[in-house]
Amino acid sequence: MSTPRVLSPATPNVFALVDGNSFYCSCERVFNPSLNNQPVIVLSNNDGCAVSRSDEAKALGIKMGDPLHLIKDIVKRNRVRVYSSNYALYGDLSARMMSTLAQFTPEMEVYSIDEAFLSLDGFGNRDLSEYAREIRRVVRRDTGIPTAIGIGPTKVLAKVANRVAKKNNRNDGVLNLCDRATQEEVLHTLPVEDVWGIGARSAAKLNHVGVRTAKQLRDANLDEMQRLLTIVGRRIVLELRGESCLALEMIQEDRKQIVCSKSFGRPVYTLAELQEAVANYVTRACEKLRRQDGICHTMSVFIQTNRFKDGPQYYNSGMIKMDAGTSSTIRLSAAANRVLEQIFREGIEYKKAGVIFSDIRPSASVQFSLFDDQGQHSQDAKVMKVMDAINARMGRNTLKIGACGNTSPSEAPAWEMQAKMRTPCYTTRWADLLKVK
Amino acid sequence: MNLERHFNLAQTKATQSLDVLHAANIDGPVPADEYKENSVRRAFQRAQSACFLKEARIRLKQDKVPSSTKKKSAIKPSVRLPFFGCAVSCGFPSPADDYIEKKLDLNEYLIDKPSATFFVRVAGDSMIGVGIHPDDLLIVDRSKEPRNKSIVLAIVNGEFTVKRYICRNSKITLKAENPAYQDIVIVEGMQFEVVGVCTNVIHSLK
Repeated sequence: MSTPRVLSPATPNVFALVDGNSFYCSCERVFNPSLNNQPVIVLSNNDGCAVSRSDEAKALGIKMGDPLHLIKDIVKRNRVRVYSSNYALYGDLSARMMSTLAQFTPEMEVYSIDEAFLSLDGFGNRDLSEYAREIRRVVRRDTGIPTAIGIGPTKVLAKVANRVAKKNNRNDGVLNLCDRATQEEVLHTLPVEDVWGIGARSAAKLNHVGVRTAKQLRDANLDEMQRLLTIVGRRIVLELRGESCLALEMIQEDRKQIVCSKSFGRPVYTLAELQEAVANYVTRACEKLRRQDGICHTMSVFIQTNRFKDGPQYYNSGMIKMDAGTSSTIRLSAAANRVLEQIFREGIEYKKAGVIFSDIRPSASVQFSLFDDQGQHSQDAKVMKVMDAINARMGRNTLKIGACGNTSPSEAPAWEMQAKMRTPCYTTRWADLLKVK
Repeated sequence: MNLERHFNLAQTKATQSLDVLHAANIDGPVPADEYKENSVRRAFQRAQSACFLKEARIRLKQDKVPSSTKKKSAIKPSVRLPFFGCAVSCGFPSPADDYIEKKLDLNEYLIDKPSATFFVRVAGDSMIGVGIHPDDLLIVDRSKEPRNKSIVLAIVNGEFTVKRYICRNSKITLKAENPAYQDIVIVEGMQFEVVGVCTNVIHSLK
């Protein structure tokens, strides 16, 4: 949550939330037009659950997060097209969508892979709905991604407008909630749990005190709402009333914590395999860490069994402190190995492992203790710089530490995720380009 | 005598240059920004010319130099030169340095709007008449509206196809550039969409 910004009443704020419809499914459709008008779902990592559903798939009753094995029958009966997630493709199309959107406003906040808030302050003399329809048209033309756009005087109202625009499919996927009358109409029918920032638990609390619709939440007593839902709730109420409390966040804040954890493609039993998987997770996390120029002071490593499976369950994690802080893949991977040796137990079927970097600080803030070798530290930094430079130029994993294993791309290691139905990386690999006649 | 003065001057410059080298941390990582790189390169070249002159001086000395000059050159600051793992060109700075322009970038030449541009690989010879061969790379700009006779990437009934776009009396025909292929006439009820305009074809001669 951002800190509230003092706003001068003279300039009314206008926010537009642009959001890609069933984004992952839409990305798949860009390169496979035979999927148009067909039910499509994209699965989470490791082909577990449905994380993106086309409208047709939603109409069949497939819910967000439904595990594939539970919806097998629906999939079979209706010939639902099922895909593994292809993040190289989604990331590239997302970047294209964002740079297309950036042409329409001087200020925007990329909120997630498929959502962006655009500031339309000072565009008041235009027909905003018309402008939004133009944005939609250009994004669809340039990237192939269909979008919905909600406009409102606050971020929360823009989010509401976007939701309604998408659901009702009226006004060509655009809804402007800037005028009072439309707000009344929409908020009256919107369940309170559909308001941005109201989770299931907050909704339960609100229902308990008789607040069921967004309109009731808007008209509720401010202090009472703050008692119930903390300052976050107070801001939501104010935003519903049209008072902007959440400003655009144009600069992404550095992460305070970096997590890299994945389920294995098949059960893993040995320490060596766990170490190899964890070394790869540490590598990813370290890359992210160095990208924000941070150093990590505390690392946790965890391993666990499959919760959904019968048999002995085991979960354990260990934490290690890096005194001076480091961003070296070599140091952190060695440390992770030591933790793993301590928490590993023989004869268990492991399903998942992960690393968590916490206590992240800027690398400039490094503090050496009496016994730290400063020369070693700057040596580490140099090695990582060279490694990052080589990998940036020659492709990821060109240079990696030995602990990551030495399998060629064709023979995936046991711990590697399953992605049996992944489409080619049409926009990021020469060998994967779309073939046309 | 002229040479002697030149040498002293060069030596002062050389020490200065080495300061620059140290400031730029030349024995550490490669200097990041171009400015640093340029100034380091120049400094190093200056240092090198100084060394060259030093050698000349030694030769001068061997040729029995007058004592007055000997005295002057007695001050010999110890100079530690950095070790370069790579070859560095000797001599004076290139007179072309002031005329350096950026490198030619093919992306700039071939692509107007990167966010809307996609590459596809050609399969088949239906467009061979305009020089689009199997395995060629086509550059497609989605943001461009097709005009009559544009080469377009289109979707017809769920399949991609590259053809010449002919629009006459609001009737659209997709024409192949190979007599072996039939034209596709777009009629009502067909699923049809122009994806983008093909702006360039890259044909490898390998």
